[in-house]
Amino acid sequence: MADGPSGAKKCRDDDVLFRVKSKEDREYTLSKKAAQLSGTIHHYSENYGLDNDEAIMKMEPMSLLEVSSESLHHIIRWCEQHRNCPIWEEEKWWQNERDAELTKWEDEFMAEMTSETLYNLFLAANFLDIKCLLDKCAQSVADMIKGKSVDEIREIWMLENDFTPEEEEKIKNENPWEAILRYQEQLEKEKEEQASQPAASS
Amino acid sequence: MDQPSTSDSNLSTDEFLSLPWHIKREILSNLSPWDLIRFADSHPQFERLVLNQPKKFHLLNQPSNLEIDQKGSRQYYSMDFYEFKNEHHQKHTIKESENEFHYVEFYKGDYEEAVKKWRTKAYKLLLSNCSLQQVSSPTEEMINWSFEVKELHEVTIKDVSIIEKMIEKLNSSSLELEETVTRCEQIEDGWVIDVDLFTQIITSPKIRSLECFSIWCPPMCLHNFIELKIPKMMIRFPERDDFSGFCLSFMEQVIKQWENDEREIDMIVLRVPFESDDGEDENENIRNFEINEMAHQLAFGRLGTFEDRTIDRRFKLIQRASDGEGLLIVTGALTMALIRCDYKIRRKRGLGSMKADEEFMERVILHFRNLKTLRKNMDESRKRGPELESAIEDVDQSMFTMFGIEPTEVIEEIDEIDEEKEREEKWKQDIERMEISYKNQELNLLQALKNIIDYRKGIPRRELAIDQLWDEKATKINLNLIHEINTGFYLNSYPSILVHSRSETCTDEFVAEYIRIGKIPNLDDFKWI
Repeated sequence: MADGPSGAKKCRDDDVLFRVKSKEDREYTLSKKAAQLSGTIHHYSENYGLDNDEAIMKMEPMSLLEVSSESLHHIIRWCEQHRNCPIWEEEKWWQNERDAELTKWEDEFMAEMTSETLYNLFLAANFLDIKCLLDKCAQSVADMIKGKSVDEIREIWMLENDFTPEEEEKIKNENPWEAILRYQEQLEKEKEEQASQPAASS
Repeated sequence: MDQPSTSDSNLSTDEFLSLPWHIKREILSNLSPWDLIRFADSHPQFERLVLNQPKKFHLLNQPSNLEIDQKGSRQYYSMDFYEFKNEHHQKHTIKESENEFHYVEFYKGDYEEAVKKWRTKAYKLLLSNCSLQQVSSPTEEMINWSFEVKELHEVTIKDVSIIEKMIEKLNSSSLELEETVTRCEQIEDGWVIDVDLFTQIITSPKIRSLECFSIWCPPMCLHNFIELKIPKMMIRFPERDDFSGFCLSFMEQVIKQWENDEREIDMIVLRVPFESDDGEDENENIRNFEINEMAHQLAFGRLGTFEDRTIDRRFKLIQRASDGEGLLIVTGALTMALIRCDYKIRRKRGLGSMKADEEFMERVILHFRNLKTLRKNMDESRKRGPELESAIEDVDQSMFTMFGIEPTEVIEEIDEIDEEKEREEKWKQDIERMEISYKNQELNLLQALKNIIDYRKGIPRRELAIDQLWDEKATKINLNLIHEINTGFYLNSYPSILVHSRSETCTDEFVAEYIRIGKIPNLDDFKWI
């Protein structure tokens, strides 16, 4: 697997390492600072007494049953790259310092993602509660919509508008239960017709 | 507008829709209001997402004007419609002044009808699940759009039960009724009020529970407001010969209620809306003379006064014996106003002066802009490097060839190396010079910020805002401010906030942000300075 944009940070040999395991049972390590970015790992270490370096070094790997190896690999790359960033303040996101190099790295990182990887990364970031990654993923999906016309949006999201505006309006205003009942009635009618046809022919 | 990312990765619609709801909300929170509308237009399921998306705006008007509090400063969006015609379709363009984006939509049929339909749809999309400060010209259908709005502005609904429902469902605390609501017909003497409707309005328990209220009524109906104890009121009435008597008697009773702790006043304004106040209308001057005397008459024999006895008699300060609170009586420009103030500060401060504050603010704006220009120049120069100059040199060189002069190749090479070194040296020196002046400009901005903070130290925001009532240059009540309050946009917020231009408001936010974080905030977040 590619290491990603040039200059991607890796944990050093002398770092205190957290051990994590993907759903495929593959083990990974990440530095203590990088692990702090994940709310889930943070809570885990609080609950399991991993509050000192010795305990962390002796820890059993933490099983992340929701996270695939591929996503975990990307997550670790992201966290190591952001391990020295100031604490993420969600409500005051404009205060989060953005240095140009890091932004460039993030853009390159996101550019590598295919549709499926991005989707899985989104879910993994959500599970691991990594605010800055979630924010970046959300931003890159929002960029697919920003400043686009309706037709462009439909093209990007591969949406087909099969309905005429009148039909669309009708569907929107229709009572869903009424539509289901009508559909069921129609099915029953068709069944009855089918049943009566062989009788008539015989 | 932010540039789209370089990412080629696209989520499919199914993947997007299957994301957890809070992530979808996070994604949509990055979109501008107009982006949200287009996104909703593209698919019915996206429309549902936009309707359910929690939104927060400051002002929504029509909805072609929109103010949003974001990034610590206010952002402004507006939309204009243009019409073009061709053989098969008509199309309109929506121009977003914020980001110069043109949106062309084809439609069949009547243009006005299409715009109206579009506006209603856009209004619903933006207002659903929204929390906003002010909405203009609300309609009955909005009651069921599940949003909250503090101020209902330019209300034209004539049915009290609908207004009550609106206040309740939209959780509103401020109501500004248009003149056309209570005014019914014009006779010789002027306009006649719809008495039944007026009575229904002022006796409604929902309206009585408001914090701020604005209405039109003839002066002889003023006595009805004695029992309507809303702390903030703006009452507009038509000009009549006998109006000053009604006003004086009303103000007298209101002040008595306040003195006896029977009523709390934030700001009560009585106003005769005149077309202009240029001093040329004789009738207007006579009315103003009567009004100007009122402050003196109302304050006569009451407790409290300014420390400086020479202060203009159109402004009077009184004090409540029970708790020492102050009330400023202000007259002028066909306006009478009672405003709660800090007695001790106001007594010493007199009418106050916004001039000094404005000067400090101008300095902040000046240094802010200088700093931004310098940074832009520095960035450009760094990006450009010494190359641009070399391109110019190339052109010069080609001119030699044009005239048939061909310098020898050896000399040319040596010259090129020397020139390049020289250019690089010069470029480095330029950058260094710019860095020094950037640091100096930063120091100037810090000094300007320090000055304005020092000046405002110890003076409550409300008192600074009250200072704005006095126009030093014209030596009378500040007409622009009264006009702003009269139009209703600042009725609810003044004097809790300073009434400023867009650039000054943004500067104020910049100062507040500096105080909060203790360093110069990111200049790009304050684009209206």
